[in-house]
Amino acid sequence: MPELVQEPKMSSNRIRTWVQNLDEQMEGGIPKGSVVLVCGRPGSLKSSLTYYIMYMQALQEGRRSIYLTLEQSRPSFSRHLAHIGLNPEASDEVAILDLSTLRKTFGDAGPKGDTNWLNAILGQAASYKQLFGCEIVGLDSMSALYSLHEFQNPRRELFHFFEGLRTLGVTVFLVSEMFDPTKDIFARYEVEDFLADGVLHLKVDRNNGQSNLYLGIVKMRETRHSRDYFPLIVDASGFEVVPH
Amino acid sequence: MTGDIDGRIVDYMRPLFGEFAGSALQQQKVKVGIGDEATRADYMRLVESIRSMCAEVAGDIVAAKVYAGLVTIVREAT
Repeated sequence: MPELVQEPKMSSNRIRTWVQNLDEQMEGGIPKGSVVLVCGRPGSLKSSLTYYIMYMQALQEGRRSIYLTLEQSRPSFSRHLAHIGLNPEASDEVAILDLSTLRKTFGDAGPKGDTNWLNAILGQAASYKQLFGCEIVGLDSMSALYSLHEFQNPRRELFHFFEGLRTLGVTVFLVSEMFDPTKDIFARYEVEDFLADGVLHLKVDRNNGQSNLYLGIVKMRETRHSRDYFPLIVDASGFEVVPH
Repeated sequence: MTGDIDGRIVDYMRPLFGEFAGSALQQQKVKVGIGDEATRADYMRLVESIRSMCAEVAGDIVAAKVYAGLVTIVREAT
């Protein structure tokens, strides 16, 4: 499990990822209040990276977060995190809210039978922030949210959803699954990366029977950032990118 | 009084249960067997039951926080 390390504080307007060598590639971290897509194909550690950032923010900087999981149950996600050396029970600063259990118990349609899931997520995050306080929200995943919400006009509804997220006054990570192996389409409606303030892309390169992970900062508003893809290493000491 | 206290409990459950907070409360009331003439003891049993549900959704630490808040609500309202 990553240990507490004493490092000089960088800009207080930035949320450090605590991925070794990554924050230096974007002026010290992600601008506070940003809405960031964490994109990648299945198995690219999107959820793990997102939780890791929140976990390290809690451990190193005392920031509170909520991680909303729509499909994977809390016990299953916790077991997965344990495999990469993270113990969700060790900190009360990062709350994993298991909405998949609620969906199983009460049904996807919600109590009124026609729940607007985009608004429901915004409302839940706002009420959590108001009652318990939090500075970071993670939502896992956009695909799961899309399977619940019935869109009439995706572009317009997503615009208001992203604006609603910004209004929360927290930094938001949206886990986004990429399905087309031939194209860099970062989310289903192909508008999310325009609406987001940042895009972190986890790429799996499969060659000669080997899989290698790479992390790229595709977009980060208000930030001069590298556009390279860096090899990503995940081990007991945490996440690390290897700069060129 | 029951309506008022129920509303406050639902508001306090909303961070964890979101849109399902009202349904979750009703489900727990049925489970514990609470009717319209509920006493403080009934509500204390109810919040114990809600605590278990919170632990399932958000873990023991967050559940303990919610439980503490719910106990305060019950003590103030009954």
